[in-house]
Amino acid sequence: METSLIEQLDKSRYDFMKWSTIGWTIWFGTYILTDFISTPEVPGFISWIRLLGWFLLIVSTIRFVKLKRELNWDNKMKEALDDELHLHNRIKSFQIGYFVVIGLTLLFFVLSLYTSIPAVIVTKLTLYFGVLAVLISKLIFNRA
Amino acid sequence: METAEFTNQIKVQRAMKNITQEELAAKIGVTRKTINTIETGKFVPSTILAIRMARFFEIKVEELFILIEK
Repeated sequence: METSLIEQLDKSRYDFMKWSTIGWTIWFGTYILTDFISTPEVPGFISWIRLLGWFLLIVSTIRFVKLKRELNWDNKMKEALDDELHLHNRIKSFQIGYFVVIGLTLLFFVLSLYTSIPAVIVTKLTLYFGVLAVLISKLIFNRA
Repeated sequence: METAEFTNQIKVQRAMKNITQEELAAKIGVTRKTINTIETGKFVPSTILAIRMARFFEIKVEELFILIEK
């Protein structure tokens, strides 16, 4: 098995995670931002930023899917990349995401006792920070 | 409650065989990152991985990974 190829693929995977995180942060973040901004001029500018985020997310997703399909042809390479450390880190990341979602749900529940918050905002914020928590923790755990 | 210290001789064995973390990772079927985190004690390998590493170095598992009871 090529030694440098595994490391190159591992680095590629890390790059995909990094750009996915940035893309998600920008793309979905702009949806939440527009909920809090009411002036008509700003949303136009935000739409362009949203498009950039969407573009980054789509490109990194396509590259990730392409990598996965290439790896399906080589089981040994696939096993080496998805080794026990990577699986361990993935589980930890999803655990963090789970606790972030639970924490936000609890926070909104408490807030709802004192004020009314639109359900769509609660849903967006919970989804946004839940996914972001998973992505950022994956980046931290998988850094070289 | 007693605690135990878990160490390993991977770095020593690698030096004796004159191989890098990357080369060892390729032989074992993991990434260099995994070897590094095991070597520095940040990650405890599974039994299967520990046996694979011991077999590669041609030593016993308990010679490669050491558990010191305190």
